[in-house]
Amino acid sequence: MTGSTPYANLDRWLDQATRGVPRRRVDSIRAELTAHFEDTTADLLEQGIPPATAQQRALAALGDPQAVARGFNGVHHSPHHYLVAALACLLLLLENFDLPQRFLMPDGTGGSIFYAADHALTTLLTFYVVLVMGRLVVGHHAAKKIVLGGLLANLVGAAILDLVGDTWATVPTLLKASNGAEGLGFLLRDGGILASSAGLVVLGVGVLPALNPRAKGLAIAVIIEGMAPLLYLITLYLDGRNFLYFFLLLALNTMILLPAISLVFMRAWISSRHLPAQLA
Amino acid sequence: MNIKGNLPLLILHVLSTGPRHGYTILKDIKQGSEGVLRASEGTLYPILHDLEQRGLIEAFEETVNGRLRRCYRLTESGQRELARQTAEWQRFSHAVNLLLGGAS
Repeated sequence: MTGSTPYANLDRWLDQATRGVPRRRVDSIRAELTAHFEDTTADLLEQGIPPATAQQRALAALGDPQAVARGFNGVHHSPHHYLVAALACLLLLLENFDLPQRFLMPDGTGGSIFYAADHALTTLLTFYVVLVMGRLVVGHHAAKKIVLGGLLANLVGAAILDLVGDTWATVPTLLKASNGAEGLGFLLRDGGILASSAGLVVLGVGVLPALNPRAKGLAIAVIIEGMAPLLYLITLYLDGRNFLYFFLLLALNTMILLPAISLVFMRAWISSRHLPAQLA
Repeated sequence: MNIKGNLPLLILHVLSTGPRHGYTILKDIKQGSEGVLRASEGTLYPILHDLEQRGLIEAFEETVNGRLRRCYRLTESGQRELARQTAEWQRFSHAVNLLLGGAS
């Protein structure tokens, strides 16, 4: 969108201030802010201030573009992503109860490729949900990259373990891996969980002081969503495979968080559809 | 003194005296507050859009000074919200004044 105003510095400022805003709103927001800038400049010119200085001051008065972008990102969202993310959450819920497997392979003979694909689907869905949650958060780019990188590592690691190792039987952790491939698999899977979970907690904590109560609620959900796998990983390495911890954390994650996040997305989708067409 | 947090209330108050576009809203707030308010001006707009999404104000387009502008006016629910928040603020500041022993 650069080059849309006759003022190069303002254009740069507007680019930063509208970063992450849905395409359909960008033009009208740029026009509104440009009008404000021009009004400020006009007032300063009336006071006898030379044009170049007036423009400089008008731009400075607009303030920090990142703060403005953060504000807009808390308010303007692409509606369809919310609906899809809500559905992704519900699908993840089903995945956690192994419902797709029970439906597709009722006798339980999946084969390693099936489980690899299943894990991959779950991680990709989580990936997408996290991406959409990330749209509510401006900045914290490093934390977001770590979360997504961690999920990717988790995906690759789990795939390796499903195809090569035997995770359900005797070898739950890296410390007891029997060969290089298993070791790599564990490293990627558990390292990935560590990174993505820690990243989620950092992200959530970063968003907590948000203006928007919806963003605040999502931040708390994100923090808990990050802590659950972290705690599970810690108990796994310290205490071995303990089904009680596993089920407790699964219950926490599945029955409370996924529906909660799903609801937040649904409400966001519904409210964003009420924009009057001519002003959207 | 959380001025930034009360910007929505001040916006609703300004709009209760008539519709305006963003620049004039800010000017009125600054003049009314005797220059105490000095927020980074760009951040006014996310707040305006948020108020609009919550249905407290509505936007319309109007030609002002020869240019087409986005103007805002208070809605009915905005009026109710303004009354509610104003009453709350008055109760709060009255209580603080009592505690500090100053004149209101």
